[in-house]
Amino acid sequence: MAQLIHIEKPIETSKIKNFIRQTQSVCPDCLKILPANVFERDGKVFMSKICPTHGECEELYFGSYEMYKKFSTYWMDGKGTLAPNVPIEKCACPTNCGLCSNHLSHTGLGNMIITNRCDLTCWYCFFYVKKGLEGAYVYEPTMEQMTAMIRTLRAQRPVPGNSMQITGGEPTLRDDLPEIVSMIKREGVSHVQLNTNGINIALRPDLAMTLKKAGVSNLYLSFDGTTAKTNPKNHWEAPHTIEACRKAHLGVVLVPTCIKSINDHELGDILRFAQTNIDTVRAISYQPVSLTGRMSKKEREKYRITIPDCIERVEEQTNGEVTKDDWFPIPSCSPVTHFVEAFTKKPQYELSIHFACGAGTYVFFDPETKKLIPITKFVDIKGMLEFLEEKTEELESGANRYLIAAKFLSKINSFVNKEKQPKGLSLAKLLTAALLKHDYSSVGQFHLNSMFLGMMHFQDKYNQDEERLQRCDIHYVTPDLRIIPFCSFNVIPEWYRDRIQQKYGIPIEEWEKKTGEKLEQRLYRGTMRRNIQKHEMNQMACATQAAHIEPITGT
Amino acid sequence: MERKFEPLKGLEKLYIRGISLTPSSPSVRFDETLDLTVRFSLAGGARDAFNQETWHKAYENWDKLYRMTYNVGIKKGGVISKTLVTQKFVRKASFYWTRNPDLNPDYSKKIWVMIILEGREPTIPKDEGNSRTMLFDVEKTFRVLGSDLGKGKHTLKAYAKASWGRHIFGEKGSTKKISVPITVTCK
Repeated sequence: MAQLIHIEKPIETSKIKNFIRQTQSVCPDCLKILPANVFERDGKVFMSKICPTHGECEELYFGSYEMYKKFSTYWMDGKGTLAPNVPIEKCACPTNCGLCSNHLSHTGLGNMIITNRCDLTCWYCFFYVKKGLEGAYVYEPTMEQMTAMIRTLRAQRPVPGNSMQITGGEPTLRDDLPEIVSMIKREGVSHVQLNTNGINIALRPDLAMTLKKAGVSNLYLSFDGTTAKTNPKNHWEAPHTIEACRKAHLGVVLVPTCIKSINDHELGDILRFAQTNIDTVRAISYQPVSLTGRMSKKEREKYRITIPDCIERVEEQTNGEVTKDDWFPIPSCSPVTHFVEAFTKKPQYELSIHFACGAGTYVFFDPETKKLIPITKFVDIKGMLEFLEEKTEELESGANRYLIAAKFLSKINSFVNKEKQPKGLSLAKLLTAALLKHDYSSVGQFHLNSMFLGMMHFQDKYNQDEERLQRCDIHYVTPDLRIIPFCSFNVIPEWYRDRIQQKYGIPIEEWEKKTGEKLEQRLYRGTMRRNIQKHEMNQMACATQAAHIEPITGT
Repeated sequence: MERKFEPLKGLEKLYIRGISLTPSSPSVRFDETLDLTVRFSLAGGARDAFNQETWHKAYENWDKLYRMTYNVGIKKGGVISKTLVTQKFVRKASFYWTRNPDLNPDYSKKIWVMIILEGREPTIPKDEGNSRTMLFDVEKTFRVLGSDLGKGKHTLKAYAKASWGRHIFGEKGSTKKISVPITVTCK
C-alpha cells in the first residue's frame, strides 16, 4: 500500500478566473497526487489539474454554480473516527485508507461484498468475476471473516457502525445469505440493506419473506429506467420483485445509475413509477454515473452528469412537482444531529459527507390531488435548521435542557404550514418524535410516511476531490479488517478492491472444484422474459408508456 | 458530541468599539429616501484570539461552529426613543480541514475557517485578518423614507447588540452600545 507521495507545486490561484477553492486530486493516468483548482465557468463548476507527465485534465465538477453556493453553506466537518484502523500522523489521501486517523466521517453506511459472482453480465459493469480473464478470482468471505468485519464496523468510535449494506456481485447467489443477515443483526447492526438486481427474488418470491425474517430492512434495487432499452438489467423482473417485497412488507429503494444521453430523460418516469408503488418503494437513490476506465474528454462530456443536472431533469420531467429548490445537501441534517447530541449529551449518528457528494429531499403523497408534495412546500426547512443551531448553542452554553425541549415543542408547529400539509399527515408530531426520541424506530416511522429522494455522486479519477474523499461516509469493510471509503475502494481499485479480492479470493477453477458448480451455471437466462406473453409484458413491466416496450431475449 | 473543552482563560470580553451612524445626506425631502449607515467593530479577547492556532484548538474539541448573533438598528428621538429600523442577523465561522496548500503550506496547520455572512454562501478568507474583519466588523446600511421620519429635525442614533454562546473563544455573553446621536432634517 505504501505509495510515494509527491505533491506538485500549486498553481497560483490568483491567476485563475472565478476561482472557488483549491483541493487535491489524482492524475487519471498515473495517480500522482496533484493540486486541483475548483472554479466557475458559464454558471457551472469545473475542476482542473495538471500532471507534469500527462498534462491537464479539466472536468465538470458540479453542474450549477448557484446550487454549489447553496449547498456549500452546509459544509460541516464531522466527528471522524476515534478508533482508526490505520493510525497515521500526516494525511495522505487517497493512500492508506482504512479508516485512518485523518478521516472526518464515521461510517454512515458500511458495505460488505459477500460475493463477486453475478447472475448478469452487464457490459458496463466492472464488479463481477468473469471467466477467461487472467487473474480472475471468486471472492466470497467466510462467515468467520464476515463476523470479524462486522465487529470492526461496530468497534468504531464515537459512533459504532449501525447501518450495513450487503452487496456483490449479486448477493442472492449465496445460499447462506439469510444466515449472513442474521449474523449482522446479532452483532447489533440496526439497518441491513440488500443491494440486488432483484432477479432471484422475482424468480423465488418467498425469498423476500425469508430475508425479511432474517432481518433485512430493505432492498437496494438496481433500476436504471422505465423502459427495456434504458433498463435491460431487470426491466421485466423488477415489478415482480417489488410485488414479492410488498407481500413480505419489505421496503424497496430504487437505485438508478444516471448517465447523460442514456437514461437521463427518464428520471421523472422513475419517480412516477415509484409513486405508483409508494406503499413499498421507500426511496429513490439517483446515482450520477462514475466514469471508469480511460475515456476521452469528448466521451466524458457525452456521459457526464452531476447532481444539479439530475435535479434539473427531475424538475423538468415532473412538470415542476419536485423543483430544484426542494433539494438540500446531505450534510444539511448536521444541525439536527448536533441538537440531539447536545440534548442527550451522547454522540449520535451523523451524515457529515461533503456537500458535493449527495443531496436529498422528502416527498409526501397527497391522496386528494394524487400529487407528490416535497417537504419544502410545507416546512420551513432553513428556518428550522437555524432554530436548531441556535438551540444547540444554548444547550452547549448550559441552558436547561427541559426548557429548551419546551421551547422546541412550542416552536415546531410554526415551521409547518398545516394548510399545505398533505391530508392525514401530522409532520410536527413525526418531527418531534424523531428529534426527541432520537431512535431508529422513530426515524423509520418518518420514512414510512414519506418517500426519500436522494442523489449520491460517487467519484472517478477525473473528478476525484480529496476533500470529498476525506469526508466520505459510505465505506467497505474488508477481510483485512479495514474500513475503506467507497471512493478509494472503487476509484482506485488497483490499490484497494482488486488487490483485496485477489488476496482473499480463490481462482475460478479452484472455486468450481470446491463447490462442484460451474461459474456460468447461475447466470440468469432471461426465463421470466421468455415466459411472459407480450400482452402480459405490457401489464407487468414497469414502463409507463407501452410504446417504449420492446421484448428482449435476455442474456 | 459532548464538548468537554474549557474556554480560553484570561481573554478580555468582547465589546463594541467605534459605533457610528452616518447619513447619506444631512437632510431629506419628505418623499425621498435616505441611507443611514451603521458601522461598528467587536473588539476584545475573542477577536484577538481568532487565529489559526485557536481554530485548531476549537476543531480538535468539536467546537466547529462559532456563531455571532447581531441585532442592529436605528432609534429616533431623545430620551424616549422609538425604533425606526432594526435587523437581526447571524454570522458564522465554520472551522474545517483544508487541503489548500496556499493556506496550509506544510500541513502543520490544517484547520482554516469559512465565514458565512447572513445566510449567504461561505467565503474562505485569505488570511486571519480578513477572517476577523468578516466576522467582527459590521457595516449595515438602512434605507428609510423621509416620510418615515416625518417633517422636522430628528435625533437619530444607532444601536447594536452582539451575543454569542460558550466556545473555546470564551464564555457565553453579550454586549451592546449606542452611537453618538446625529441630527437629520426632513423637509
